[in-house]
Amino acid sequence: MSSSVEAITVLSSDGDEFKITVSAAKLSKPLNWMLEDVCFSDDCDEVPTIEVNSKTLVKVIEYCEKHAPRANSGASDSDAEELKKWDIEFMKMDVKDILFHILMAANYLHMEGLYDLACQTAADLMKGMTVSQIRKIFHIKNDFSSEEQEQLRRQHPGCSFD
Amino acid sequence: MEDRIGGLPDSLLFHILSFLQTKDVVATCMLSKRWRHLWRLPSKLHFDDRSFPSVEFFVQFIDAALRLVRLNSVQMFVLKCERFSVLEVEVNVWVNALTNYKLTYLKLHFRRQLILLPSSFFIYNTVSVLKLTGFVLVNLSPVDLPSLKALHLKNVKFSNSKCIARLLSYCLHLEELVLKGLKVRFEFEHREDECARFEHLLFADVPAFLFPMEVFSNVQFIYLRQL
Repeated sequence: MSSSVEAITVLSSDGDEFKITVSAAKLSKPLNWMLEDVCFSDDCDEVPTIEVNSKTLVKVIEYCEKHAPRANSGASDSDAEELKKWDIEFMKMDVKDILFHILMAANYLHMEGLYDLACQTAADLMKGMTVSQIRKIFHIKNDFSSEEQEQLRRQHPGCSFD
Repeated sequence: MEDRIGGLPDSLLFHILSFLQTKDVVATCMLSKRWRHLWRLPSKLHFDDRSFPSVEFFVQFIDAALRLVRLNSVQMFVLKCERFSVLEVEVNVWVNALTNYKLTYLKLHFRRQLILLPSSFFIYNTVSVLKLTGFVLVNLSPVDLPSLKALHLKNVKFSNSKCIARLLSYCLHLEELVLKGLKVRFEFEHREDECARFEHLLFADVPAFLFPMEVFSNVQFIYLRQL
């Protein structure tokens, strides 16, 4: 494989193969390092594995490919507007199922833009919600004893358990 | 269904919380034991009076938050008063509580009143973004804003134009300057030593005729408004 390679193949944690263009892979530091290894090592047969499942990796690559042109060249404000709209659509996903994985993947792959976007999405789901509503959205189990709840109520008279 | 968000590392949960107002952040302590103490280490404090039913509750909440969180971890502080008027003395207590910590972003916004700034207000070693709305500045004692990159002053009243000229002359690394709705009596002599030299300024949105044009020699975008 020569250093003029345009796309690399990676494996998801489920063992599926995915192609990602070089410019898109540059959005992630670990992917970028991987890329340098793949491009410059003599032993090119090995396909690197990314510890992200297939369903999530599809989304991550989709994000990278969309954002790569702007990240690599800079773009106009109208592009930025369009990209923002795209991000909002992109994040309309099943919370229980995939947001959690996107958060983990963005963290693991050091992708600042996606990390911020996913955290913002999680925060938006919590905004203005009651404690019990948030528990329901994220399947958080209330593991406080009744004494502890009473104590918390006293400490935070403005907040409510319901 | 398992509690997956609780399994995320602290750093990730802190980042999620940084997108919320402090009122919502504090409430997360009720979610579960995993969340009980996270709110005490905020990277951002964000108070907005529109989320509170009364000014008393708003003030009490800020007092308590500043007492209970680890201020060491706070990098951003945002206070927005859109609906209520608060006592000047309260604001001074809050601002003083923050001066010793490593803030990088400070935004204080008062819509319905003008707050008198203490003359020693402008001493923040680490602040790079400072946005003030609704203030009066009468005296200016030493200024120390070595890290300041962006300064926004909106609806700020200066006792005289020397005051603002002096303030700006200390902001040597400014890249962004926005001055809107300034109230300042004009007695501007463009004395060399008092006039700011904005060598790093990239963006300016300022009243026309406040500065000689030379100071904007490097600006990439400039918007000159009627005072």
